[in-house]
Amino acid sequence: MKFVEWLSRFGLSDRVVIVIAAVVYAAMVLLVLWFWSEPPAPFRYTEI
Amino acid sequence: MIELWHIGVVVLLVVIGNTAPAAMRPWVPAAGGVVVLAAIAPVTALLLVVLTAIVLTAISPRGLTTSGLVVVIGSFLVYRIATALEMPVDSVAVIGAAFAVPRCVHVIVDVAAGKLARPRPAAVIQYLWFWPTIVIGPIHRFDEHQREQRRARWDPQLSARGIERVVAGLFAVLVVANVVTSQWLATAIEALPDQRAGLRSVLESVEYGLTLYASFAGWSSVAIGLAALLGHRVVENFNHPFIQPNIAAFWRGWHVSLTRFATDYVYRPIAAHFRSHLAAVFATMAAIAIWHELSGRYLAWAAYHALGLAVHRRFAVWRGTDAAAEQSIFTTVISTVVTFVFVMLGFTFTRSANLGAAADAFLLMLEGGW
Repeated sequence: MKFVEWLSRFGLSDRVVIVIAAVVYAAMVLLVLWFWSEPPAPFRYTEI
Repeated sequence: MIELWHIGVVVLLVVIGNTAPAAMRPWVPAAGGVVVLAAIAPVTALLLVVLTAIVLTAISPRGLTTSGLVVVIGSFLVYRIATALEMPVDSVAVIGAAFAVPRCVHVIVDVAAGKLARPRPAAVIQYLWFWPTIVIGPIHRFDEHQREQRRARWDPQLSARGIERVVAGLFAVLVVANVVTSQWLATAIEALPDQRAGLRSVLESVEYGLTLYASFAGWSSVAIGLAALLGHRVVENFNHPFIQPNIAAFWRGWHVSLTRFATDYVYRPIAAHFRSHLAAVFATMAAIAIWHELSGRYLAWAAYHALGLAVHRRFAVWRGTDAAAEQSIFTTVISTVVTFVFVMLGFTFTRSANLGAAADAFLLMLEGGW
């Protein structure tokens, strides 16, 4: 996974990398669920 | 809005795609294309059936290449003209046609030119109906698809990367584009006082560009991630377009699969025929504009970028390749900022309702109020 690979470049231990990645991914998923029903941005790339 | 049953269908397609018997596996993503289009845009499903039939006829040994190309490109142009004339055709749910047409053109032209060995009809159907890319691209190539299909198998590493891409893509679309830029940033820009109308006009273009990028790159990421879950590596569509040192590099990072298509099938033939970079670059940008929409604002946006590319080319020739390689950090930062501003100002054309509104927006910027 690219984010994990990127984090690993900073010389952190594997355990720290996994914890940081898990927190970031969990936050992203929670935010996605939180804003799930917001109206879409006004672009129609799926309709061209 | 994405509904729960959409996710259910996607999960089911991924599971079936990875558990089907080996002999059936190439057909499962194509069957998924039928399911996806039939569910969300039945008109497009019918359209793609017709396009597939045209491609198969055009690449048949009878050699109806020209007729096939005329029908494929012509029908797309007719659709664009009808939309431009505000005919009721726009109300018909046509989804992903702009991604299907370049794929059809690519197969017809490359088979006729001998770059592709005449494929089996089954292979063409599996390529055109591949469900992860059927709605939003990227415009991947037939030979790439064949290669990935041959090696496709459950790969835990690629699948983990696929899930990461899907999550990152959904985050870009649902959080960044739908909320952060198009709501929060747009509201903050709107709140600027009238004395700062020039700045507001510039920032509106920046907000449009950022929202467009987050939205389109996000959906592309979701498509690439879903393909990875089926063991397919699909061409990237964006490569950090807003941190590029010049306009040519921007186009190598912005909607890469479309730029690659336009370069191969518009730029190269015209440049070879007329021996003119300028004519080829203007024709290429015009094709990219019409791919989006047939309108004055998109053609003006295309001319603006073509001019930028032409000026950049002159400048690069004048400076020489050695000078470009020896560019310092300072000049790289300056050129990156200049490119960013140029690109964002260009979005003024496409964010405006028409060419007149774009001219008004540029006038606001020029009149001051910063």
